[in-house]
Amino acid sequence: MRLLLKATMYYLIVTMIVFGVGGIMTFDIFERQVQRETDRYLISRLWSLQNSIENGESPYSFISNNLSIKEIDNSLPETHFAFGDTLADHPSPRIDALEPHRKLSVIRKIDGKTYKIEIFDVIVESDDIFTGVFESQTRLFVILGAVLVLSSFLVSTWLFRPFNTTLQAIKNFRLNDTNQLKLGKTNTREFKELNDILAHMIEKSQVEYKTLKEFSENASHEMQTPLAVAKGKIELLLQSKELDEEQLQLINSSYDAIDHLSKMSRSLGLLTKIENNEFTDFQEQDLTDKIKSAIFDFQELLELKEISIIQKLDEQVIVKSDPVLIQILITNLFQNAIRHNIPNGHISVTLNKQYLEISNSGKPLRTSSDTLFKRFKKDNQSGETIGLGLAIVKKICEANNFTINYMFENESHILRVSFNHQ
Amino acid sequence: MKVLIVEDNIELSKNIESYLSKEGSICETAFTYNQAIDKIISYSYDVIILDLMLPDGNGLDVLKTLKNEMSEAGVLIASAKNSLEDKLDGLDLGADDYITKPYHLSELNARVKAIYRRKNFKNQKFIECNEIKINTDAAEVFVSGTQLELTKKEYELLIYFIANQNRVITKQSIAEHLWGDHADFYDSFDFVYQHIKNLRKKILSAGGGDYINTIYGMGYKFNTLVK
Repeated sequence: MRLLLKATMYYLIVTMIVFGVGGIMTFDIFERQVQRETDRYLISRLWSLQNSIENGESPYSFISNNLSIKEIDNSLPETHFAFGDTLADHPSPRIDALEPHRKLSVIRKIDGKTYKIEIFDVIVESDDIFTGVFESQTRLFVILGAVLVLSSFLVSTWLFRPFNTTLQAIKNFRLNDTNQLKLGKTNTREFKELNDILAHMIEKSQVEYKTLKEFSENASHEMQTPLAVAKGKIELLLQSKELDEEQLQLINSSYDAIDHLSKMSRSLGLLTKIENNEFTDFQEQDLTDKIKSAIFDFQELLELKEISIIQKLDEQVIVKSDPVLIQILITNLFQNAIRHNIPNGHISVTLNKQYLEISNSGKPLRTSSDTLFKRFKKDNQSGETIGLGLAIVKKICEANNFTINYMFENESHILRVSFNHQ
Repeated sequence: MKVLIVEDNIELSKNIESYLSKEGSICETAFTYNQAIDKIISYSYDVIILDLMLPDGNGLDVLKTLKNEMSEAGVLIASAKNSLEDKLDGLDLGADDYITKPYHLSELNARVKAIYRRKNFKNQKFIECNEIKINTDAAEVFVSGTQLELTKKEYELLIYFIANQNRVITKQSIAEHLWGDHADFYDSFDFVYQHIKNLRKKILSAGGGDYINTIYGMGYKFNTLVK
């Protein structure tokens, strides 16, 4: 739920309570006010009745269904006003119903005679007051609610615009992006603070990320010299005479390990370089040409492994990319297709303007295909391969805004690189 | 052959010196940019092995000095940088070849010899090794006068063997020599074996010696001393 809508809801709940309490208070005030007015009216009627009788009019001529007057024993004293609620016939003779009335009863001595006078007046019922108060409060509440919800929507679009801009900027932000983060301009203090903190945090992490990347690139680079030394020493050791089989085996294992290590660090260095955006020489590349020459390069290996190749290549498929990256991409895909093939297997290469697809016969993966593009994830952990080939392919695709998908269909591994032309 | 090794890492420099001098090459070493400049101004060399990253300067500047001195020396750049730009810069400035660290000493040796051969092609057009004679211009191989029909890979393999004769050559270095970066295959050693088997058979059937020895698990040796 939107923050502002949520706030509005809470506000409305509080308002509802206030309106309820307010309603009770209004009801109470109304009722008392109405009663007081009725009482005053009854008193004024008593005054005018008294006046009329003093002026000689017959008291009995005033008797009606809301006034009764009775002469009583003279010995009884005068009383104060006594008000009471009672039920009486509705003042209108056409309505035959008992209605609550206010009654003023008093004993008065007028012109030496003692009268017991009772004056009634119909009063506004509590029910009616309640209904009236309730209805008006409810209407008010509904109007307030509607206005609030509507205005919260309207306000959120412009009040929250800088916040939404910031949100969008963070959503599109990638740590290895060298572009500065563009946050919305605002004079709202909270948003300003948020933007400042974000900008600071991102700048810091970008610097640290860059340092880390540079470190790993330098590390993989610096490693090559000692590896070259060790490799050379072993080669020299090999030249010494009278090495027995066991010694040769020991030498062989360490030589293999060093070789593996140097290939691994070179591949990791390459990955880091791609991540550091060091391949920026974007040019138009004729993929068809490159793939044809790759097939030519791999021809011998294909023949040795007895793998047949099926080509469906459109002419002159052009993509814009760094030539080094494209070369690595193609080489790695072919290597992958040959390495994970079966004897007498096949490779099929399809190239058109939309995608490059390389599929090869092979056994189904033993591990999940989700980890296929992860570093050091190999289907065959004991193999002599490094497990970085497809991770590099994936990185190259990301750097070029290509997408890569893996499928396994008809006993074939299919890797498809879609070019996503803008 | 007179070789100058410009390399700031002493151990690496020793490796190269030790490998090359076994064949009677005269090796001198320079560990810094200044030492390298001093040496190339004072003496002449057939081949210079040049590291690009020197503590007190850039190897590419050594190359420029060489050009100014009108030196005839062949230059092999050996760098830890695997970047295409450095490679192109180096070759533009007149280097003859480029090799990336960590390299196999046998590969370095073969490249040095190839540069030496190209520089002196008038007297070194033919490589001779016992009864084997190779015309490097036409890529033709003769055994006791009979021409051998070799595939491109077999031919490259033979040249590599002869450049590193009487030394153990690892199968990794052969695979990389033949396939470059594509050598990253777990079964590429089987392919190496097949090529070697074919080459040996062809030499034998033309009446040549059985020069190629298998060194258990490790690689091969082109032994010119066998009968």
